[in-house]
Amino acid sequence: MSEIMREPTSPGGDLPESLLSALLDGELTAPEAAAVRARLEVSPEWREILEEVRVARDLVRDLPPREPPTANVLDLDAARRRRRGRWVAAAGAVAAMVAVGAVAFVPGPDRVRPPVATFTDAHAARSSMGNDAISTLAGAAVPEGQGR
Amino acid sequence: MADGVPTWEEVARDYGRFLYTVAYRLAGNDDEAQDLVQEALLRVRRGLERYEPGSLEGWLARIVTNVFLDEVRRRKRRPVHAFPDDDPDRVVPPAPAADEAGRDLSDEVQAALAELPEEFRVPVVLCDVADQSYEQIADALNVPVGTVRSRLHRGRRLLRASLSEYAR
Repeated sequence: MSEIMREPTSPGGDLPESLLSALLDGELTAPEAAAVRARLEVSPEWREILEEVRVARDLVRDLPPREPPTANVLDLDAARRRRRGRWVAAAGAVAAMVAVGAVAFVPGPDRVRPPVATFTDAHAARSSMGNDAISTLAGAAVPEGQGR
Repeated sequence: MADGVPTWEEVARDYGRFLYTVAYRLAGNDDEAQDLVQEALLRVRRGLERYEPGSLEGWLARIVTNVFLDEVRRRKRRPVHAFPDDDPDRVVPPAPAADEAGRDLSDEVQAALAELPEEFRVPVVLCDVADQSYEQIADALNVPVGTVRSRLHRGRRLLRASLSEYAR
């Protein structure tokens, strides 16, 4: 359903209420304006709404022009610098996020380095017991009934 | 101004206040209005070659509105993180609560305008601040004229409701 179909209509239900704003703005055709005026004649509710939108419209139209706070606002070079500054800031933020992500999620060197010293010590201990570790493993792997 | 096409300098000099006023009424504060105007001026610079003489104010209002709507869409896509601004000429307005007692009718109307959802605020500003016709607004927003009329009317009614003490 379109936006126009959903909007409130006049008490008779045949004219959209937004025609009241259009009447104030001079945006109606002569027949439309005549229809709205005829409705206003008989509808106190529509007259009240018309007054409401007239007040709101006048309040906004009476707002004073706004002066730029600095002449810099209208300076093209300043605009370019400002835009460049924003890109640099955004790029810096992305770089910082990537760096934080790298530190948080990439495993550090200690986590992937094999404990070589521990392996060496264990191997040396087993070897010094008379049978080196490899021979021990080989003995355990001899099929049943074929061993010593 | 050659062949009705202004130079960039003429736009900034003669229409700077108009652009800033529209930007301020859309954004609701000086800080964002400055950003909008500067981005709009960069687009004006690029677009002047293609500008066809007509309603210059309409063209400028359309550009600053597009900048504003782009910014609204950008913020909806991702939240904005504030970065310190090192522009020494930048003027940061006082917080609204700081001078609550000194607020006049303009401040109240501006505050009510800023409270309107963008879909209602933009047609109100384009009609009642930039003085654009419904057809121009419809072109700028790429919506039917009936939609402009409906949103403008609803925007005015919402404004009136939030400014109920200023009946006259």
